[in-house]
Amino acid sequence: MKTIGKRWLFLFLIIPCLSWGQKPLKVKYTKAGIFSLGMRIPFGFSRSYGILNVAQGLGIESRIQLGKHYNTEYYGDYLLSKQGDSAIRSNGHIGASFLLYPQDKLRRVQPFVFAGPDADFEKIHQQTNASNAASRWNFAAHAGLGMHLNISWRSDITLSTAYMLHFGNKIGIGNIAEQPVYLINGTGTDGHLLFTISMNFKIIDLWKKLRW
Amino acid sequence: MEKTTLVIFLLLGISFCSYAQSKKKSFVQQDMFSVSAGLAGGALVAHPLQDVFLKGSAEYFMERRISVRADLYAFLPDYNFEGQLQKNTSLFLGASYHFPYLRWDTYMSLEPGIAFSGLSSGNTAEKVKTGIVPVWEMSGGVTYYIRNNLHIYIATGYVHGYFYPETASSFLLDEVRIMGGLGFNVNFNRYAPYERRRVRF
Repeated sequence: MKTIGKRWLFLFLIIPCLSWGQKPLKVKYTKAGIFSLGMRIPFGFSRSYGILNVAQGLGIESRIQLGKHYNTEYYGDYLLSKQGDSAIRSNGHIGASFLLYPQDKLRRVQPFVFAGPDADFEKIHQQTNASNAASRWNFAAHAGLGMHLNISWRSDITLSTAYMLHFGNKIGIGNIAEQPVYLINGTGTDGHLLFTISMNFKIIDLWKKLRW
Repeated sequence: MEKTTLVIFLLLGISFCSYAQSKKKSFVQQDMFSVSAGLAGGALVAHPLQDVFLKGSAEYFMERRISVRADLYAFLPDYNFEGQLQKNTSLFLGASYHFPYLRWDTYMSLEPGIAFSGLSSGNTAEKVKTGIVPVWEMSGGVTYYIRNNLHIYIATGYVHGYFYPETASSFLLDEVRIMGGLGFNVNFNRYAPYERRRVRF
């Protein structure tokens, strides 16, 4: 009897060690409708006249998630770089992407593939003479791979690589009185590789707030 | 012997149940807003030049460890220094990750931004043309919350960017900056104010 009483007392004493109910509950939610805002740092790599040009820029982006596996992103950014050894190139992009996630759950590392259309404004001017310049608007498309590093369930750092192909007018160099002149030179395609680092925060669940 | 065994199990069991003592509450909480001002000194990496800035910051803690941060560096030029940057004011907007502990907060930030740069070969500021340069900054620092609404901070950072003036060569804006100052913070939440433990003699 005494032994049975001691056993019960021991079991009673270890009950607090098994009280996992004090941990926060896991809240289930649907990802559709989540709106995010973020800042991005794009890097562009292109080659002209045998020289690798590295562009650096900044931009903003927003996302509206459509479902567990689908997301949409809308962005604008600006890049600046040297073009060759005597020209400066600036690009402004606005565009959208459709992201596809292979994973079911929100995990710490979340890879995705993405593609989408863009509008691109490009200006090239001679570094020592800003009036010697040419500019053009083009349509473009991009596609690539990326991954979200989910710091918390509301914030992430996104790394992505994409190739962007521009369609339309091209800017070339002509010679007038033995001086290089930048001008619109025919149509065609040209592209550059983009690597982007962005930081995003999930602001609001739009679907829940609008009560669709 | 059985009583001794029981006492030993009881003492061991107490430590497994003492959850409240293992987590110390930090001052930094979600929904805290802070502004600060201070001075920053910078040394350019590729040029033998040093800069001085007035720095202003605003930060909002979206979560306890993650904040949105905006920094303004107002450049203080030296017009008598030939070959010096005459303009290098920059504005950054990005995010920080924090490691709060009691009244201390260590953080690291990544912020893209814009620099308004101008380089003069002479000493007349009117001839300087301003270029708009995309830049980014990585920084880290420590903040100490002196009072419930007052804090001091010290930080260091690295800024990267390329400026293309109307000369044949590019000007690398890469710079190592050290900054420090004083700030004011408020909590836009319902958490109880953080109380400093009073020493009782």
